[in-house]
Amino acid sequence: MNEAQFVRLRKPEWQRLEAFAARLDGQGERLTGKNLFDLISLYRRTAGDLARARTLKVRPDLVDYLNGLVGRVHFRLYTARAYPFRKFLDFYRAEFPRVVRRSAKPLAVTLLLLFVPAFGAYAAVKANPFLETAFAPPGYAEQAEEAFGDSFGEKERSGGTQALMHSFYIVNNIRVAILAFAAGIFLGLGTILIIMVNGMILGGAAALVEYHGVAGNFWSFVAPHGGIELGAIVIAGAAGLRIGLALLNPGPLTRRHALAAAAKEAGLLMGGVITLLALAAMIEAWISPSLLPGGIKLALGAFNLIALVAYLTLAGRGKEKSPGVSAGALR
Amino acid sequence: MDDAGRNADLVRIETPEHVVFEYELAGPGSRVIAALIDLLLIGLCLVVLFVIALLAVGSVYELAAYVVAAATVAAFVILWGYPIFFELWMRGQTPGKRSMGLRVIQEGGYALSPPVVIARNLLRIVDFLPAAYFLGLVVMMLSRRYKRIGDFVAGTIVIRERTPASEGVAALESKVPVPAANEEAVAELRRAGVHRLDPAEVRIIEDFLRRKRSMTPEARRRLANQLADSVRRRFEVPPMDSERLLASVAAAFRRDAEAAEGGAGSAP
Repeated sequence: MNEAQFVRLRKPEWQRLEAFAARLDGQGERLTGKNLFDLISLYRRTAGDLARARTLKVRPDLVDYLNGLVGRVHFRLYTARAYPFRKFLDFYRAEFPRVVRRSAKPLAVTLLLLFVPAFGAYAAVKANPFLETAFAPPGYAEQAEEAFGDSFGEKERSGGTQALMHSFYIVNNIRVAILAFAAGIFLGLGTILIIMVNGMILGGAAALVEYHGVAGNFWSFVAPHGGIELGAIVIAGAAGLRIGLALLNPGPLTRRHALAAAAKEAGLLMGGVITLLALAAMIEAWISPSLLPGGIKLALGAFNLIALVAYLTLAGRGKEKSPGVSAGALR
Repeated sequence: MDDAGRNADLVRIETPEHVVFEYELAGPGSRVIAALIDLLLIGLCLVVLFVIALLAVGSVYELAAYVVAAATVAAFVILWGYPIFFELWMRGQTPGKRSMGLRVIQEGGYALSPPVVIARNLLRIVDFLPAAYFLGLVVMMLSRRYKRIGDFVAGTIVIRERTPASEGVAALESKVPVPAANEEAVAELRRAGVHRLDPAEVRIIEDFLRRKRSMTPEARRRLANQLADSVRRRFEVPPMDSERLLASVAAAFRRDAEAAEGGAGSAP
């Protein structure tokens, strides 16, 4: 068969595949299940044509054309599972708690990395109050005294400047979480550093407010959102450690594949982290500064923390559904 | 992985059907331009946000701080949400990437999944270090597949999707040269035995005829003479201009192929 015959014979199918490819790209009618078998057999035959075109040594631009067509369809055919809305709910119902439980060890390490420096800083500042500026920006003590002092609770603490302050805290917390994850690429060291530094800031602040006698108000303000926020940052740290661990100890996989696998897990973790931080932000904006009595806020904080832990440990315990048709299955 | 002599900017993918095809990698240049276009769009969104905030402050002054607070959070969400949202929505593209014909895919040639999109885009915070994606760019230029750190971690590559070949087979056919050769020359060449040329050599001649318009005059002349001389050396051909000779050779050859096809019927 020469080139002219080859093209004349096969052109109609290529053009049909072109049309399918355009529909896959969202132009024209959507593809339905009925088209699927047609599409797959067209794709297979065209892939075969590509191999034949190379053997026949036909015009280079014809090979390029077939190469492009096969590539275009391949990418859409061998795709990861689609994420419809139900899948979205499944993520929160089961997938996120599961991936958190799969990360139990890095999670435990991150908790230690946060709380050991936190208690260290707390004890240090408690014993030597002059250290208070070591872990907090200068002027923070005065601010804290003013914010959580005697006037606390007398007026709705949602004045303009407060709102502004909260928005900065919220943005900063999310940035810390993103950084704790992303810095894992530095063999996990970046994550360790960021979590430890934030632990020290936390412990230092706890000692500081105690020293200035405003601890009660401080904790009643922090409690409602604090547990969820810290939980999210700890999970982000665990995601970063998984990245670092995949680099240091890829196990039976190549480093590249171990990293990609860890990134998938870390991406799932970060999806949950962002949701948790958004939730914490809403609580911080509307509940934490409200006029509710301190006791109720503390109770609410305890409840939130217990609910978070219960959710992460218990949700999605049922048997996992077998994964649907995915790229791996098709291979 | 790459064949020697092959363009190193190609990624070879073997399909489950054991057919190998190639994706063309997008280099740092086009990716930077795509990123700048996206940055422009993000900037535009932020300007709109800023104007809305200003209008809100202007009408109710007491709300100023609240508006600024909300705008701070909204700006942050736009900045980080933009690439994640679009790469999920447009299957590995952002408006900037689409305008440059680029697409992010997973290394095996698959479409991105949500956790992969989240991972590669949150790592921007590292790629950005110390400023303006410096680290990401350096890593990209040093890596064989033009990956920034986020691509390394997530196992993704950015490919150039819009190639000349993707215009369709119809466009391809319109580019087949119709050699401007007169019947006399063709007949004479066939008598000289030119139709016995190696098909691979004719392929090169056709390739030249297809591309000659995109060449500089001297390169075009030099190539034409080179190809024509190699024909002249072996066959007794009437004296004529090199390019016309080549066009006539291609025509003679095509005529033969058509004749063979017509005679043998359409049995492949």
